[in-house]
Amino acid sequence: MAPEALDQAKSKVTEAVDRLADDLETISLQIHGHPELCFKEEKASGWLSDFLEKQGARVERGVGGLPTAFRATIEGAKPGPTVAIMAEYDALPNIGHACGHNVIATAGAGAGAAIAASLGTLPFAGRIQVIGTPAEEGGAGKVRLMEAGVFKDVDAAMMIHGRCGTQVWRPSLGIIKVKCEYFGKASHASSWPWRGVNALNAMIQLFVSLDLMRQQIKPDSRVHGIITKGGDQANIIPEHTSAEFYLRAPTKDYCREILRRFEGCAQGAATATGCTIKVTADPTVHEPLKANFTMAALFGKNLERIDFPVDPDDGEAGYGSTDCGNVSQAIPTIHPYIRISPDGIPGHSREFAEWAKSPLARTGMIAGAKALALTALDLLANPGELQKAKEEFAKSG
Amino acid sequence: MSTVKDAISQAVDRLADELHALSTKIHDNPELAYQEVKACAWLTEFLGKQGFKVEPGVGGVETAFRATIETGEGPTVAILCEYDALPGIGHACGHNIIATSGAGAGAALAAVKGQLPKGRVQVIGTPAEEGGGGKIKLIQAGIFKEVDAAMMIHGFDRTLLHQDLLGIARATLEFRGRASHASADPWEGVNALDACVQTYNAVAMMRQQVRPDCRIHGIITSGGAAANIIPEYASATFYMRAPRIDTMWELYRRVIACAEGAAKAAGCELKVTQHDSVYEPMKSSRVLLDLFKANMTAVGLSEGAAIPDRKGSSDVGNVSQVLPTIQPMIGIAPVGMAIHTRDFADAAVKPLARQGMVAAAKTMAMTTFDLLAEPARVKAAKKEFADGA
Repeated sequence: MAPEALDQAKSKVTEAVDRLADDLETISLQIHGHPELCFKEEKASGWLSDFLEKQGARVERGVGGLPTAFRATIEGAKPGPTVAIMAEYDALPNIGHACGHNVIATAGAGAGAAIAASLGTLPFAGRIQVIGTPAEEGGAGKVRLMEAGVFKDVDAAMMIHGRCGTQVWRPSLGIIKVKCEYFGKASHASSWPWRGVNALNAMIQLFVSLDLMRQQIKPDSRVHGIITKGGDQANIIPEHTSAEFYLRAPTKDYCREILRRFEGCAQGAATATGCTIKVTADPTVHEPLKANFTMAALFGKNLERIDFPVDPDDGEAGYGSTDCGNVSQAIPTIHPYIRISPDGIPGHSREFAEWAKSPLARTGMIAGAKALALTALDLLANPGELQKAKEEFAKSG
Repeated sequence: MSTVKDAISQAVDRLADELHALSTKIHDNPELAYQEVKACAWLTEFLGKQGFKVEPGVGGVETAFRATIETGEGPTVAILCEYDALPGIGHACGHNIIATSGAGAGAALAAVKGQLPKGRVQVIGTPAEEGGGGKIKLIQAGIFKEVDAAMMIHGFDRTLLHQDLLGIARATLEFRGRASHASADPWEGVNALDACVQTYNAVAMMRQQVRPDCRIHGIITSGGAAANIIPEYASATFYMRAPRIDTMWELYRRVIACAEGAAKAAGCELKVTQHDSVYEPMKSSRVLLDLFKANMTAVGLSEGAAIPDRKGSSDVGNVSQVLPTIQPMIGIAPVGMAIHTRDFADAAVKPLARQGMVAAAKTMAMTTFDLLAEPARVKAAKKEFADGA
């Protein structure tokens, strides 16, 4: 596509986002005001699907066997590659939209809606899809959708995430979730303690071992857990204890290395206390984000085009995890962050939930919608860019 | 009391000044384990003078000795002497009293040799009770093979017919990891100190599930080279004590499991070295204790209040695991005075200590006489020993 034609298309789309901005903010605030937990995002997915349909996209509801997932497609002039824009819309328990998924949802849906409304059929080959991906918070909805084949024909994917700063690339950590149980022997804790085998001792040793181990793991990794069962009653030597852990690291290999060392700690505590042990790793592994600097560069240029500033990385904050990591390990993907709060407001805080419905969040949402839409146009209008993104994906480990 | 026992009693009284002088000499010349050259020489000289056939350096242990009198075919009864001192605080365990009461008992029996029933009396000098395990070496060298029953006394703050001893098994645990810079590359390290500390924690946690009459205690003997190096080597020594030999080995196994678990958790290599000298718990002999008790009463000794929770360890425990053996406690210091203190060392040459030594010498001599006079008692003691495995 000629550069002038693409430029014109881009202008049409950004104007369309501005036109739709009030509607998008209304949906964002609606979602924010009706927080729905993972896999239960019926209202949010309904509102978003209806809106996309109204703007001319072809919407399939409940794709991949997930009732609250959806897919909205805007076809191109002829068959070609597929670029997906992802929308998340689940909330957190108790603290609502403290992860700002209402902004992710409306930025993603807004990008698709603006393209559909302003261009109708895409003036080039291929198609753009908005994929509604439920249950990012612990449900790994994107992994379910990948397993169901929803991403099978997608060539590149993107989404934005709200944050206290705008960065086109930030890593995320992979997670292996592990459950560990110890089985000992119950006995009266006062009259016959020496007949008991203490499963809580094993559990506490596991926590202490992990604390000791932390000195010898890389500082960008995380190991954290909770005890979900610590015994039945204080006068019984505990016969069964259970805990859940997240093992996080910036690479899959290091996640596995930490799992190996975790198992050493867990087995060691069993040996030391004479307990038997059961370690169950969750088959769903959250993978770390794989960077795609080709797409990130396009996204950055589009932010420049709309005069939205990129912030220097704030250095201090650590990294979270996302099921978008799994998508990024399968196809070229970007997951840029857009400022929706002032500096230093941590995600998953009540404060961040407040900021997710602020004028700053509206500004970020509009910028996100525009940059997503424009980057999708770049990839389809210039097949060379998509090719470059794919080559980069193939080359990096 | 029989006329022989009267003669025994008189013989001890006659020798009392000499024995006290010997006791004081040993006390004032404290010699550490396996270095008791003077004490050994003085005791053997004394026993030789009383008519014993003396064999110094038995069992390949230079400062050990065996002194024997024989009156024909019959049981062999051994009276054990200890005479090593403690580092720094001298005879704070009162082994000078153990030595001279044993030698005194032997001397009294030698004095009545003409009236002794058939059998053999041996005074066995056993060095290095304080950590060296002299009796273990003598057992291994076969010195106790022909002995049918053994006895000794130990000075204490009160007289007690029987006091349990805890067995001790000792182990050195060495952990090997991988050194690395603790700031620049800590993740390249494998922390041997982590394993050591975790072992200590695991043992502490385990204590809840250990009988309260057992003891586990340890120290960290090497904890790293410098704070900015992830320690590649760390080591600890643990003592496992229990009143029964099976419990002691069970405890030992559990402590090693703690170390193995800690090594696994930290990713370290573990080397366990069991110390050679295992002090075994005291196995009691009712038959011998009954005889001793009757003689104790006859010489005017009465038991103090029991203190079941204050227990030590001794290599006489090992002797008690191979043949009927007793080690009554004899009051030689004021009630409440702890052993292994400087006060106890001072008390070990006071009149109270002399009194205890004389009474103990008489009681052991009379008990030995009883065993020779009634070989059936020896048989009963051996049967009890065999049955009470």
